[in-house]
Amino acid sequence: MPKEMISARQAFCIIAIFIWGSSVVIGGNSEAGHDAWITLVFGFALAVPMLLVYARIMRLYPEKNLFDIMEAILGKAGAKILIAFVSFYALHLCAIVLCNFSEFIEVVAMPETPQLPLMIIMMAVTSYLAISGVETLGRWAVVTMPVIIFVVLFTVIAALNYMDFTNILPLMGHDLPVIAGGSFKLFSFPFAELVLFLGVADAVKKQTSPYKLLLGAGAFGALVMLIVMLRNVELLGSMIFVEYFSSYIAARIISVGDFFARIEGSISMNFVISGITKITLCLFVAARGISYLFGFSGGRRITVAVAALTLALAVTLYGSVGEMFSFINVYPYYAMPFEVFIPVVIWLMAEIKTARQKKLAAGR
Amino acid sequence: MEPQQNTLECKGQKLMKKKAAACILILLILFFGGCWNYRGLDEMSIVSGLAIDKGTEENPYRVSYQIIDLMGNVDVEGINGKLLESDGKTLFDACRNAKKSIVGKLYFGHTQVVVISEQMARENDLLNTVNWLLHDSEPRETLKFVISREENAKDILANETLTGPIAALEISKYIEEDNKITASTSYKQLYEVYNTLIESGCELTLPAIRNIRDKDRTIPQICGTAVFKGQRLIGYLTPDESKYYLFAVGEINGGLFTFPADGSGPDDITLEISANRTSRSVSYENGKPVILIKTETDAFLAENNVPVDATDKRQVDELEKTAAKTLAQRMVQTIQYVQTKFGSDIFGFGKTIHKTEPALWDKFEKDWDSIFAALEVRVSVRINIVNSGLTRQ
Repeated sequence: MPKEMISARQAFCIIAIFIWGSSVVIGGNSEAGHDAWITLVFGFALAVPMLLVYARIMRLYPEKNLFDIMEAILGKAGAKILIAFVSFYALHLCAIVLCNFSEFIEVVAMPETPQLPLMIIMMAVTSYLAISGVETLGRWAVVTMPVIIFVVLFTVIAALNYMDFTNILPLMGHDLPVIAGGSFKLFSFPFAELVLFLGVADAVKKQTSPYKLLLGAGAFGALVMLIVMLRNVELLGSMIFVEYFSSYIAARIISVGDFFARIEGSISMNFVISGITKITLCLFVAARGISYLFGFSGGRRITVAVAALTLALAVTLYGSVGEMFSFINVYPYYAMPFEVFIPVVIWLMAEIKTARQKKLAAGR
Repeated sequence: MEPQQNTLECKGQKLMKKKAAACILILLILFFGGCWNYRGLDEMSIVSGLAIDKGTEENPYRVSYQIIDLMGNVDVEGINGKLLESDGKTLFDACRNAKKSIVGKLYFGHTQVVVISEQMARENDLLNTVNWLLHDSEPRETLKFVISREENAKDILANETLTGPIAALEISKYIEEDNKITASTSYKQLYEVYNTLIESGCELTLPAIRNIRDKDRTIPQICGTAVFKGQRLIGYLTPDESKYYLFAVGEINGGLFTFPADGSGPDDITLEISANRTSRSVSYENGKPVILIKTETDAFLAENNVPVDATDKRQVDELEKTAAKTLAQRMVQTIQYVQTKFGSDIFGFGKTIHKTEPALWDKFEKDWDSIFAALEVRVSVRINIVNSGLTRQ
C-alpha cells in the first residue's frame, strides 16, 4: 500500500484548525480579562522557538513520524518509554478535548441530556475519520476551513454595531505577572500542543518546508484567535472575565435588525467542526503510538479500542465544569514534559546523530 | 476460472457489507435523530416578562410572570398574555414554585423585560438578580431591566398596551426606541448592566416605568431614569433631565431639543436631533481632575413659534449659538444636580479617567465618590442646524 501523503495546504489547514480546536471554546478568557489578546500575542511569541524545534525535527527526519524518529534515535527498545509517554499524552489530550465539548454542550444547549451519548457520537465520528487516515483528515480540514473562517468573519461584521472599542482600554491594565501567566497558558494550550502533529509528520511531503508550514499555520491560527478574542472583548467588556464560553455568549448578543438574531448556533458549529479535527488528530496519534508500543503494524486496527479507552478516560476525568476550568491552571505545568522536554531531547539527539553520520560519511 | 470467482464473491461480500452499513445508518437516524429529551411547545410556558416584588417574610421574593398564552385559537383571538405569580426564598425557588400551578415548565428563552419594584431595588442588591439571570442558560444576555414606579412591579405587566396585548414585549420596544425618538431614558441590556455594576468608576441607570390612565384603561409609560448608587436605587431623573444625561454620555440618537429663541423665557424653538457625537477628555489641573465634555449635534429646525428665516445664515448662526448655550447650561445643571443630590457617577467620568489615564485612576479610585461630588466638569457644545424641513421659514 502506498504511503499516505498530504499536501502543504492540507497540513496547513489541519494545524490551524487544531489550534482553534478546543481553545476557541474554553481558552482565551484568562485572568487577564480585557488584556487577553495581549497574552495571545505573547503566548504565540513564546511558542515560536518550540515550533522551530518541531520543524527542525521534521527537517532532520523528513517523511518520518515522531515514533519512527524516536526508534531511529534510541533504538526500538529504548524508544518505548518515550513512546509510552507521548501516547499517553495524546490519549489524555483527546479525552480532555472531548470533555470540553461535551461539557460545553451540556451547559449551553442540552442540560438534561447525559454526556455519555454525546461523547459516543463524537467518538464514532472521529474514529471513522481517524480510520480513514491522514489524507481524509487533510481533505476534511481543507473543506471545513472556509466554513470556520466564514463564521468568524460573519460574526465580526454582524457585531460591529454592538462593539465598544474602548473595552480594550486601558492597554496593559493588568500586572505583568498576570499577563505572563496568561501567556504561558496560551503557549501550552493550544500552541505547543502542536507537538502531536509530529505524530503524523510522515505524511508531509519532503518538498514542504516544515518551518514555513508550522510557523505559517501557527501564525494564521493565532491571527484568527486574535480576531475572535478582540471581538469577544469588544462585545462583552468586563463580563468576559466571568464567562466560561465567551465566544458563544458574544454571539448571543449579536442581532441584525429584528429578525436576524440567535446566531450562537453558528458558533457551536464552529466549535464542533474544529473539535472533531483536534480529537481526530489526537486519537490518530494515540492509536499509532500504542501500536508502536506493542509492535502492531499501523494504528488503524486499534483505533476503535483507543477511542473506547478515551471515552472511559473522559467520563472519569472531571466532576464538573468548574473542575475542568481549574485544571487549565495546572495544565501548562503538566504538559511541559510532553510539549517541551521530550521534543527538545529528541531534537538535540537528532542533531548529534546526524552530525555524526555526516562526519562518518565525510570520513569515508 | 477460480480467481475470477473469488473476485465475484468478493464483490458480493462488499455489496452485502454496504447494505448492512446502510441498514445500520437508517437505524441510527431513527434513534439519534431528534432530541434526547423532547420538549414541545405545548409543554412549556413562554415567559415574556418577569416582575420582581417583595414577598412575605418567609418567602422574600414574589415573582410574577407574563406568559404568552398559546392555548386558544391564535388565528382568531390573537396572542394573549397571562399573569402568574409565585413566592420563594430565592428567585429561582420562586420560579420553581410557579410550576405548582401550571402545566408547562416556564421557559425564559424569550424573556424581554425584568421589572423590579422600587422597594426591591432600594433594599436589595441588584447584582444578585443579574447573576442569577446570567447563570442560567435560558435567559438571554440582551434582556432589559426596568424599575417600576408603581407600588407593585406586577402592575406594570398586568396591563395591555395600546398596540399589543403583551406589555413586556411592548415595553421592551418602547425603551429600545426611546433614545431615537423621545430621548427620555437610558436603557441597558443584561450584560451591560452586569458590566456597569462590577466596573469601578461608573454607576448604573435604568429606565423607570409607571402606569397612566388612558380613558378606561391603564397603560405603561416611560417616566425618566432610575439612578443607582452601587447596587441600589437612590432616586430618579425626570424625562427632561434624562435627555441632558443622554447628551453627556453620548447615547442620544434622536429626539427633540426645545429652547427659547432669545435665550430666556419659554421654549419657542424646537430642534429635531438627527445625530450627536459626544467625546470626553480628562485634564489635570492643580492636582484635581477636570472633565471636558464636547458635544456636536446635527439638528433640523422643526418648529418655530417665533419667525426664523432659514435661508439667512446670520439668523441661523445666531440660533445655533443660543441653542448651544442653552444646551450647555442645562447639561451643567443636570450634572451638578446629580453631583449634589445623588453623588453617583452615572456619567462614568471615573471610567473615562480609568481608560485614558490608568495611572491617575489608581490614585483616585479609593475616594472617587467624594472626588466626583466636587468634580469640575466643563461642557462645550456645538449645534449645527442642517436644514429646516420642507419650508424656508
